[in-house]
Amino acid sequence: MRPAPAWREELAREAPGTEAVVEMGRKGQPTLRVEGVYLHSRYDPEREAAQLIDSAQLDPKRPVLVVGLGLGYHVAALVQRGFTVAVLEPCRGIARAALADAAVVADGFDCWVGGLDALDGNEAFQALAKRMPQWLVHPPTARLHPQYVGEAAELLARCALRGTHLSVAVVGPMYGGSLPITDYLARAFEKLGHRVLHAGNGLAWPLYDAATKSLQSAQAQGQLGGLLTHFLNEWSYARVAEFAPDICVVMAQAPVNPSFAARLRERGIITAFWFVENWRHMPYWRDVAREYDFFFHIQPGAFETTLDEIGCANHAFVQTGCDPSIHRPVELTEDERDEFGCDLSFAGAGYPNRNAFFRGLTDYDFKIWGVNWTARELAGKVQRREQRFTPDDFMKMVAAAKINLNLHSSTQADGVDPKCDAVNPRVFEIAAAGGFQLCDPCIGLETHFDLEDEVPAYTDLASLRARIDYYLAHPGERVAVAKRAQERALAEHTYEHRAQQMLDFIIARQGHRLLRKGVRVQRTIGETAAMLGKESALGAYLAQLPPALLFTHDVMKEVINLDIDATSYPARVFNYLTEVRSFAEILLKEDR
Amino acid sequence: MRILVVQTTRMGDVVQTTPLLRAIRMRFPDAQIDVLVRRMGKSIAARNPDVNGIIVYDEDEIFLDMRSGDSDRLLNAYRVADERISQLRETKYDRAYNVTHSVASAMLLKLAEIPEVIGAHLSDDWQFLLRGPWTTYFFMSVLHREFNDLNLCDITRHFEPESDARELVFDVRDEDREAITTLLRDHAINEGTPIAVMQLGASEDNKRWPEASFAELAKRMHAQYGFQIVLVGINEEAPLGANFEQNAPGLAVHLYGKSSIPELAALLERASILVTNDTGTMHVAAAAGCPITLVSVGHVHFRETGPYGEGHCAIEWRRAIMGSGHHVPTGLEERGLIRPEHVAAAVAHTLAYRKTGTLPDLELTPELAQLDLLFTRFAPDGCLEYYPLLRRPLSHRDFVRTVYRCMWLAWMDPNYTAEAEAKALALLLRCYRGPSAAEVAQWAAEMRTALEELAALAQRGHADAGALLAHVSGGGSMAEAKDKVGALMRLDDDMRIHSELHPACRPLIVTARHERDALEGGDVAVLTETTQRIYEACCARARLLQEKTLAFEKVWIGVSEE
Repeated sequence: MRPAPAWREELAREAPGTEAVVEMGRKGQPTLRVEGVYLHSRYDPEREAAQLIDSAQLDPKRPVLVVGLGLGYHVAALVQRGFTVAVLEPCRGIARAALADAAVVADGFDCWVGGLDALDGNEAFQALAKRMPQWLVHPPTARLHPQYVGEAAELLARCALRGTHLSVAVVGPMYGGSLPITDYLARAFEKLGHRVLHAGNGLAWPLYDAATKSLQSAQAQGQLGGLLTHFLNEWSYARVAEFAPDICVVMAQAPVNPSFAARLRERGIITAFWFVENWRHMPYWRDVAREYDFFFHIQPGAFETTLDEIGCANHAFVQTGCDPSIHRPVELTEDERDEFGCDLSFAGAGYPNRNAFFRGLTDYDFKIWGVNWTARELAGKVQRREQRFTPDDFMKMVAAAKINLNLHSSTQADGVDPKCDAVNPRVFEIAAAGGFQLCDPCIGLETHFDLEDEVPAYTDLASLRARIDYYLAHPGERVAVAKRAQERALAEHTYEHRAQQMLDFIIARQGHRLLRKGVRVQRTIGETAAMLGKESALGAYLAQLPPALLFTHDVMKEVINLDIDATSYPARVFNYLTEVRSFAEILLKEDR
Repeated sequence: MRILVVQTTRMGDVVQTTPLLRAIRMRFPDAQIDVLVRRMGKSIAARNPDVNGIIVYDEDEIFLDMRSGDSDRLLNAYRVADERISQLRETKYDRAYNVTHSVASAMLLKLAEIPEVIGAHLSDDWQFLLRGPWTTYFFMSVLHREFNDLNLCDITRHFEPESDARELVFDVRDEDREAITTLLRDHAINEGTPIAVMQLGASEDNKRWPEASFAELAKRMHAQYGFQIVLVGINEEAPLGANFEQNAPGLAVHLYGKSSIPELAALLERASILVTNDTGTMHVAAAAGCPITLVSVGHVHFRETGPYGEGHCAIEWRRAIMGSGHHVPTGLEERGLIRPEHVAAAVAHTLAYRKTGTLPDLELTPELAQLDLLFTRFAPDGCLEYYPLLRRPLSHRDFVRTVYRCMWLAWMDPNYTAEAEAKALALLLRCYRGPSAAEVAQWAAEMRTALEELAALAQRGHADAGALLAHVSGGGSMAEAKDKVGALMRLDDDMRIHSELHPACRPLIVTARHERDALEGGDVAVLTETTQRIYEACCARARLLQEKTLAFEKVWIGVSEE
């Protein structure tokens, strides 16, 4: 980016282009014609520019990045209104016409003319991007250069939001497999430095369970369940709306209705849904996929084609993963070793294919954990019958077993489902915990792990038994394989990677929405104190407060109550600000 | 002398502060008088010749910054506040008048180190306090609005106690008149055309009479008086005008967002009448001398915030507490109950008074049976009064509210006289028909009994506080002092329960409690002495209120005999 006069000087030295033709309008003001497109009104270009700016409802305190210089009527108007302005113009001929020939536009703005490649590393552009500029596209330029406009938006969003702390809400289910994943994802966003609301609904499960089980009538169960779900929908909405995040991720099975996303979108919140289910088993994805700004799923391939076909614009494959704070090696007590120790272990629900397949392993020292294990032949192997297990218990099972079995669920196959393309989280969790596992070769698993050296795979009972026998006989290899899998899991497959993948995708596609709304700057008290310096009264005051807490009003009003130096001038001012807010909220309530 | 007047509420409140500004100017003709207002109040303050300087302090922006959860914006809020405080400190104001119901405004004045503050302020140990009867009443009246009979202007102008300034001030200039003449001409309205202005908006939905009803009323007014109807408001209110248009196509000129506040004042100065909901426009009209018909629906307390000045009319669906929206649970339903023909009757009276200076009789027909129509005049006691246009029986609440008015004015206004009171009561009570003198006597007797019990409790408090003071002054033990304080706290609870049993005593008890809460300083003896005086004052107010029931009774008998 350079000031406009510098471009004027440079462009004036170039031979005039032929693509842009200056014509005089009805009121004697010049306009520009390029490839049959008029870049400004032939009647009243100044009025047209004013209307463009008015309709954009720009915040005068934030800079504006304009895409498309044209002859600069709109740029001149912005400068005149006191905005800080920067302009991107793809075409040198147009820029020359504007800056050197027609001279409609005044100085007082920075400019970039030409392709965008070099702009990514441009210091001035980076500095501008960090100021979260507002985005204003000159419509005729967008008609002439639609791809340029899209790329510019993406570049700006990427540069502006790089390293920015966002606010993210994660809405969880009452129950089920996506419940722990909600925790993992929320924690991952936190670890990445974002402000997070974990809007869980697990509290409601005991009530839901008791209420529905207390009734015989399916109709009554449905009605009551519906009422509770409606309540949870509203509760989730209220929490998220109050938190006012930049992005809200709704997890599969969360008790929210399809209009949930639209209501959040009205508040300027970007919405995403993470469908951590098998789309072939759970068809409700059809009701939600198009409702959200982003739809994340765990099955590449056919599902993506189907999503394209139904018009789901922004979908992406985001695999589940591991949370190293949960999925980690654990030390076992002697009692735990007795309870969980075995040659083979499987932890999970007794889907039909598992009930059928594992009947062929009953001659091993085999322990099965989880619910719905109905095969009579497995009765002696099932532990803690019909009890669910916690993630902590799961880690003990992994640590205690010589071999952890993994078999992807299927309602279609009797054992290994060759069509299965939904890699389950267990793969990553066992690996992160340092467990040795044998797994069926679910489609796509090979992109996450090496199926010989990290997660050895089997295709049928015979190959599984062969692998079991081999690895039981080679404990050293088991340890080496497990170590490699663990390193891979921690390096590539944590939920932090998944969360970052989601954010990258969202920012690339709709970062401009975040910019338009403005992203909240989230700085800690310590960072703010350092920024202000101890020589300022406020800096010195903040330096006494807990440095890791966020410097926001909600936090500060609590911190001031800690009474560190309640009589100092800054503390008094913060108390005053708290009262200003409280009075304004009373007035707002009265107005309602 | 440098004086700062803080009014950081809404636009209408800034207009309602102009009598106080005039009073200050009259007392300090050479003073530099600055006002601190929100952005919306700037153009009102700019047209006040009593004001020398305007400080715009938009707390809205600070509020949004704080609510944003954004670190930079919090820093910005801090900086804006810091700059404002510094500016106020550097100006070295000698005195400030705080006309805002907020602790924040009190804090700001404390931070600004202004030595003398009238209105809400903070003590040196940062405790909220009010000094003086009118400032206390200003704060306390909002807690028992059903018993308040005084307009906000009458309350705040008395922050200057000797004030007799009763004029709303807005300097409409020739340039405003010319601008509005041009604007009207652009809409084919010539200078001789009679104009009726309507403001369809309001700060909340339940305060808005329906646009369709306004449209029906407009048709009637156009047909009956030949008025050109003009709709005013801000741009965002234009959809209300569109609703109006659907019901009365082509009848009105829409001026949404087309006039500045001074031009709006010029328009209202020229208009024959404004029909409005409770809005800032209403106060501007009152200042510009435009007769007003206020359609009071929803959470409106027109006795407190209605138009200040003579010759305005308020119409309201009959409620348990007239002039108060405090207990109106069905605000939205109520909006439809007042019909255009009802408001047309109010309009007729407003116009008739403007034309002849007298009010035609209004019969209590079945059509009007469920309505209250009230008309403003300054009462002989010096303050604004809403006189009923429909003669119907006085209610118990009317009785209580009126005797409170007498008591408070006698208590707070050094110029108040029994003669003026008798005249004011007679003028008001002539607007009622019934009930019998015996029934009123019974109300008065019951109230006196309740007040007697309250006075006894307050006397006990006075005596107990005296004993505590003696104990503390004589160097008595801390344990015994604590017992005595405990006894006083139990007494306060007894008084509170008394107020629950006898709501008519509540304002006195709430006021006393507030005075107790706002004690200054840390000297136990001084605090105890002040506490003793508070009980004494509570007792004296109860006795004074008893006297006012007798005065009321006396006038009522006289008026009934007429």
